[in-house]
Amino acid sequence: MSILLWLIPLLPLAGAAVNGLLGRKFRFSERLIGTIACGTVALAFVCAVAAVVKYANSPTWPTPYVTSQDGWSFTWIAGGATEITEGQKERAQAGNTTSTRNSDGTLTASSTVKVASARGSVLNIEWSYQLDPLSAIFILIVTGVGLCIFVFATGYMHGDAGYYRFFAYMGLFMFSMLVLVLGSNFLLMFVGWEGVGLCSYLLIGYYFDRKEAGDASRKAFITNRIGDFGFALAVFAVIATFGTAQYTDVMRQASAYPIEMLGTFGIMSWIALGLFIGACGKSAQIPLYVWLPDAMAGPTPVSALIHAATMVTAGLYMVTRTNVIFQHSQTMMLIVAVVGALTALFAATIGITQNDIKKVLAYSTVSQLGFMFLACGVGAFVIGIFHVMTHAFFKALMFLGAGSVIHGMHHEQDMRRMGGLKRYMPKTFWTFIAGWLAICGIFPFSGFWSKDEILWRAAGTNYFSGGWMLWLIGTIAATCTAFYMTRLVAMTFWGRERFREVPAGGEADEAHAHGYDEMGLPHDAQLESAGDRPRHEPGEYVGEPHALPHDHHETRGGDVTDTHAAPHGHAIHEPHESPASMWIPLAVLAVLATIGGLVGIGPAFSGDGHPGGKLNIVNWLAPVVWNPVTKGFGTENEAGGAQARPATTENGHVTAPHEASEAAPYGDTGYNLAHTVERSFGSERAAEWFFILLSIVVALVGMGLGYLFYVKNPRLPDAWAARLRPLYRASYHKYWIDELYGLLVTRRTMDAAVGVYTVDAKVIDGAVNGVAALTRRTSNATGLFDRYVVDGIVNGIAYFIRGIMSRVLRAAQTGLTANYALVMVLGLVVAVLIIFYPDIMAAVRGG
Amino acid sequence: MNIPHLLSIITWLPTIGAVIILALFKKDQASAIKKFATAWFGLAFVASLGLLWYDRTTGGMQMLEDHQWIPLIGARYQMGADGVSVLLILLTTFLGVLAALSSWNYIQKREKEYYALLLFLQTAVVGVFASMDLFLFFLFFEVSLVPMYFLIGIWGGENRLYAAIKFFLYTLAGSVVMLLGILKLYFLTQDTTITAKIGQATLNVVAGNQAARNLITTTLQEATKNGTGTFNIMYLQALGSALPMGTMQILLFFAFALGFAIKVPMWPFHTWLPDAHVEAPTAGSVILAGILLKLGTYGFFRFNLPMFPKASADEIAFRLPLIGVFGVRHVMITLASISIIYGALAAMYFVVKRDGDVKKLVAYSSVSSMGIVMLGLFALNPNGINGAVLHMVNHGIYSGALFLLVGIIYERRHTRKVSEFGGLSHVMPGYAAVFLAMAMTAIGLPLLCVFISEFLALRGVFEYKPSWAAWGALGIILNAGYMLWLYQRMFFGTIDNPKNEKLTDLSGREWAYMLPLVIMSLWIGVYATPFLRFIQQPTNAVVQQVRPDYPLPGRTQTPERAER
Repeated sequence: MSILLWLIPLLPLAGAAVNGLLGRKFRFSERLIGTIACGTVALAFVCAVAAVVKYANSPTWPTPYVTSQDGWSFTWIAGGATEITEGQKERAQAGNTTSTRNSDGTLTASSTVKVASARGSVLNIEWSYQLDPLSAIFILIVTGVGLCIFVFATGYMHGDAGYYRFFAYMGLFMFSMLVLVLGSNFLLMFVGWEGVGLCSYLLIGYYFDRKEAGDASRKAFITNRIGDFGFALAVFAVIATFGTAQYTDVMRQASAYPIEMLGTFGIMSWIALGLFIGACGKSAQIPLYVWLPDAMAGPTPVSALIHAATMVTAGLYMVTRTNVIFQHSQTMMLIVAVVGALTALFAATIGITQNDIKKVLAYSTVSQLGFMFLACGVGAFVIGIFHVMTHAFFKALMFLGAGSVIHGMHHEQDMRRMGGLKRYMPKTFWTFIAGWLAICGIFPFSGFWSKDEILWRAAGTNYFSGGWMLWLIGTIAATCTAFYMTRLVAMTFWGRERFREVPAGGEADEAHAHGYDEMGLPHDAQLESAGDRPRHEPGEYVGEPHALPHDHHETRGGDVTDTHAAPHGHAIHEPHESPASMWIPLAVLAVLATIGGLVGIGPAFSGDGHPGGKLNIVNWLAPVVWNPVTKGFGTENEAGGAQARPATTENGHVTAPHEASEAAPYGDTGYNLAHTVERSFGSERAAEWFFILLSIVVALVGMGLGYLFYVKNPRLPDAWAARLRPLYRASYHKYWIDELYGLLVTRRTMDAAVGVYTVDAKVIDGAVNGVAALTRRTSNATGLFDRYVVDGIVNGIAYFIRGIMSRVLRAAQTGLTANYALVMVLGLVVAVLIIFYPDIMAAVRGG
Repeated sequence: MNIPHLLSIITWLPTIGAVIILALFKKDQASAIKKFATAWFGLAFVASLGLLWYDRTTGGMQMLEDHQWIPLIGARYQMGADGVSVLLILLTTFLGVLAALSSWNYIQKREKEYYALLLFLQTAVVGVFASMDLFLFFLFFEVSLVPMYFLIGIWGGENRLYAAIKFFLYTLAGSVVMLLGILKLYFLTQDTTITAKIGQATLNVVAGNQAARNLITTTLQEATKNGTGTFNIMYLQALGSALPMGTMQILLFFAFALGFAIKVPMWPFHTWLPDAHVEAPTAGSVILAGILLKLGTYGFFRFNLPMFPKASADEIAFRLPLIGVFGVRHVMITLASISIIYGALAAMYFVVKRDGDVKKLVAYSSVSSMGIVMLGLFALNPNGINGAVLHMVNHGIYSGALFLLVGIIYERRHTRKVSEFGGLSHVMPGYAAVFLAMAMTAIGLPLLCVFISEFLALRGVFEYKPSWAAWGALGIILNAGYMLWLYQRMFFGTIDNPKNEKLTDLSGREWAYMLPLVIMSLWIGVYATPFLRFIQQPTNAVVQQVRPDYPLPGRTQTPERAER
């Protein structure tokens, strides 16, 4: 099994290496590149299936299997000794409780790594992979959905000059993503985390000669970096608290820690906060979601693989992986749920007014990710992951469908120029319909199962009070989802064939007018995705103002060999159906989107718990989730909604006061919508059916509204947009968040850069140069002093000797012996006087 | 395997090469000179590979050499290396080859002197890392300025004289103060009230193994015989821990710190660096950033921390109104943090500005990066110091590579202004790929070398105070900001400057000196453990000196085992 786990990430990496390093040099054909790329991913998928089947049937299930058990690991970073500095107080408390609670944890028995001593530990980060129910689900999604998208991409990217480069990046992405979900410690998660960030950067910027692609890729990377800031600090905190980064050890130690209620923000809350900031960056949650819509500048298969199905769900993986830590902080659970719910609603409202088909899907992705975080926040981690899976199916399907449409429409992305495509692209249409019904939550399509249960669990959460508000927000967001998705389908596949028309002005074409106002150039929706002209940070250098990019189409993929190669500009393209390499993956995903949800049938359909045993994703994943009631992993929460629910009597009150803290680890959370409904219907099952019916009704209302607005009465949208003009504009302009960030963050950072450099040049280097100048001045002064004073004295003496003394002395050199004798006698007298001066004085005085 | 006189061979081999060039080659044999010099650098690198037999489990000072030198003052020709020295010497000889190889086209005048000076420079630098005698160390430390001065002053850019003199005088000013400190230390070795307090346990820690301990003993015997003090570094380290905490130790700390801080350079002593880099020829920049800056951080690791352990760990020495009580360690960590953020912001200026100089950007990013080293060192725990030492090596790799890359484009276009480029990916895909790899290394992408060292350094700092680590991590975000922006402006987009249309991609020779750096970056990133094993024991010794109560594994046994 270890070999399989090692092979899963390495196979795509090998494919990427071959394509990337040799593909250009040896001019690989598209067929060869595609075969290598898809072949390695297919093999990885086979390995993943084999490993998961083997693991599921092994007697140790659900104990995590770490490859180092069998020696398949190496010490990646031998970091040296560490000291435990964080969370000592909690550690001490945990130490008191472990002895009594030890028996509950199912993980404790199998773990072999030693617990860090009280003060110190040695940090050896090992490279090994861990297979447990959670990573099993993820490797299946990543390799399975990934394979579909790879196959699709071989058709979509056909004719692109950088074919080899594209598949090298994609393979590298698969490697990083698989390391992310398979790694056995936080550092390896970080490796994958940054690795997918890099590939996302490279692939968003794949069409690198387009300015907006470059900008979007950089924005994505840096926004993610801000998230990683939190992630990195959280990893530091994990090591400083537990002395190790290995999941199994951390989780085991963490489960003994005391739960931090609202109002206390201890070490667990800090770790969870840091991790969640990271998750917000990667999974595009408020406030770090801004990069994802821009990321649509990448090729559509990339959007499907990275920005819908896999990478953006890494945040969910992380939160679920560390659910022990999150569940130890009531505050953080609340924050996760609220951020998730708000993002779901916020992004959905933006999605309503966007006209670029990929932008709508992007905001839809943000919104759906919000639902998943909402699930995690209310304690339904398993359901969150379930939604990750169903979302991977239907959103990948819809993105690929959109890609197929864009391909068929000759790289037109503006839905206002589509319409009536059903006739031209029936396969794309019918597969898209499956995705549409799934995301709207229509029984029995996959999205229904997960979304319904998220809302139900939100209503019944016991992690904090006010779950009903989250349920309400989620329900409204679900309505919006159904509405804008219907709008998308209607504008694309139904209605008039607007691609035959020259665009008209007016309210619906606000982008045109607006584009004209803002840029001083006529907006041309053929060339740019309408309303989404790249926005630059104010003051940023954007290059020379250039004319409209006429050669725009040449730089893009499929056009080169399009049989429909038509003149650019406003000429009319005939849409066409996509080739088999593209619609077959669509068909596969459509099947999955239709029936994929059946692996998570809820208790309402069976009577007792989630049916299907291990095959039900909820039961499969349950052992991953920590149970705050039993303080163990997955032992008591099979019963779906019963997780963390206090034992209640018929009248809904907690049974006994002294057991309250045991049964309700988060205290009394007050009014609970689900319990109220349950009481009024008299049974849990009836209550669940109530929520199921409600969510179907909600979906139908949204779809009905969409049908009314965009099929039945196409004049309604304009009328309502006029009526709600401020709201419409706010939504259309994405609440001006990008502009706000540009003003507050980007612009200010640049100011700081300029300021710092000015200080550096003027003040600090100024001081250095000042010292130098001062030294030079001083040396000038000393030079002058030297020349006129010091040297002056020397010269003066010389002059004195030469000019004055020489004359005197020359005068003395008379040559007469008598003169010399006189001088000699005078000298003697003086000498005697000096030498015997004291005696003479004494004699004088004495005398 | 133990090659006798290995360190001396590695040190003096380049000088022999330089002498051969000066004596045997004629001025007009440029092509022969550069091939010979490069081959000679290769030889020196091969010789230095002998250092890989350093015993990583024993640790301490190994490959020792000891000869009489100036008995009058007790200065001896003593050489020795611990794991940190080993890595830095290997880095030096490694970059030496690449620097020589990269100069083939760049240097078009006075090749003879140029390659001779490069070789002399290598002798001086290796000598610094290999000296076990403080006097010898100082000699090499000072001498290393001279070849660099000429490299900048003769083969530099337009403003080369200003930069060369600034570089020379600035560093010299720092080392003069250090010289005072050295003299004071020397006289302290003759002060029996202090030397009496040096315990055997301390000597065991600083020496690390039996051979090194014997070296200390014989040195002391010689010194007593001649009635002199001693400059032996290990003995001075032991002396430092016996030195009582007080004004004297703090003054000595800062005397050394000033000399090294200028070399590192730490904010606010960094302004010579951008000028020197901008003016220096490519190979000069590579050596300057890759190796000469490490003399400063190496000095902190080798001298400041173990010689003045109490001052290094001090947190209460000063009191100021408004700020309150703070210590030497706070001063150093604050300066390091400022360096990180300040260097990153100043680097960003060169992409914000329309026609910023790429080389200056890389120079300022070095300031930021060396801040991480200092931050890691003054975390004073194994993680932090391991990270810092490894970051010295990693910085040598990636900043050397970035300077080489800038040099490559400069050779083709004779400009380094960001605004002159754009869309280079179209014409130079290989160059773009290597640049991307190195930019990603610089911003700390996992599986590339810098990630490991930044992770460890900041992890160590987090252990000391989480908020400091947060500042360091903020600097890393800024790094990503300007690096990616630079990359976008240089490589993305369409070619709008007609001068760039005919640029050629990397030549075979250029691949030959870029690929090793990419490979090293990947190697350290993917499997850092072998490199970290070199520095583990020396780091632990330093931590034990500075913080005797740190929970090192097996700490209590080490001195006793050494007694036997």
